[in-house]
Amino acid sequence: MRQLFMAGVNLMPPTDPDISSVQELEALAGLLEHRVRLAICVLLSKHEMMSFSRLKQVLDEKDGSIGTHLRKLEDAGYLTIEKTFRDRRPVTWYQLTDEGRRRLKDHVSNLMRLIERSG
Amino acid sequence: MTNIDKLREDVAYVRAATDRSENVPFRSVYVLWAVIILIGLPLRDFVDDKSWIGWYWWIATPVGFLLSMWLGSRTSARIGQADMEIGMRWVKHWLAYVVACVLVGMLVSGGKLTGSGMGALSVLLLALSYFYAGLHLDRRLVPVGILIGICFPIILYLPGYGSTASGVVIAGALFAAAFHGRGKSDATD
Repeated sequence: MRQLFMAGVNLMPPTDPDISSVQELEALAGLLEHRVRLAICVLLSKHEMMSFSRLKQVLDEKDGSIGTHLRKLEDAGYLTIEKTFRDRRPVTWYQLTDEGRRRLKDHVSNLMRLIERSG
Repeated sequence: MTNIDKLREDVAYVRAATDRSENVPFRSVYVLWAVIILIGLPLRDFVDDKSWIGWYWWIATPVGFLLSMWLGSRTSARIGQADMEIGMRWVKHWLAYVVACVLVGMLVSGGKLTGSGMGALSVLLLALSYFYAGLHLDRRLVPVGILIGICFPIILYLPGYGSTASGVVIAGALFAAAFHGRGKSDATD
């Protein structure tokens, strides 16, 4: 979304009554604008820890896709990982960091405000 | 599609994912209690020495409680979702039931309530506990609570095998709750 703004692309048609300000939409730009990454953070804010396979199952995504999103969130410091073994098989657990929790809270409040204002 | 429509769609996607994540079937725990109830309730109809009933429940309840904790943590590890807070909520909920039963036991030892009265009161408390567990922890337990409530007068007033029939019905409801909405995630536990 941010790239589109920077490239001068107006996502809002002039007749669109839903959105009142570009600034509010810009506030939603960033890592959490992608729904899979948003869902990962929401899930990890609700549950203490989730494994890679559980996230994949709940989000109904492919290994590669979810792995890419998790890596981006981890690189940005939103998530921490912990590797354990179960029945001699490696299990990767993900947990939301304080930073991730704060970013998610800001993002969700902006998102809900925008949706509420649109009616 | 406008931006707001896309945002709404994203919110719906996130909500659907969180709903799926809450569907953690503690099947083995429900099966355990179905078995405990299936053995415990018919004792009233088949055992002559009624003191056995008290002994059974005094042993089966704490053992079942500890086993449930172990099975619950095992299920969480197996499916890959650790929820200490939710686990503690389950523990507190059922601990309150156990404490209530102990307090009812004090009524018996104080001569305020008969042994059979304690059995009936425990079933009533069980109905309430399952109903509230259904409201606050797992929706599948609501019908179990209602069913136990329906069975309460049957246990009290139906001559013959009312307690056995109730045990079979309640255990059946727990089995149904255990296997309701079974998905590929819980196929192995």
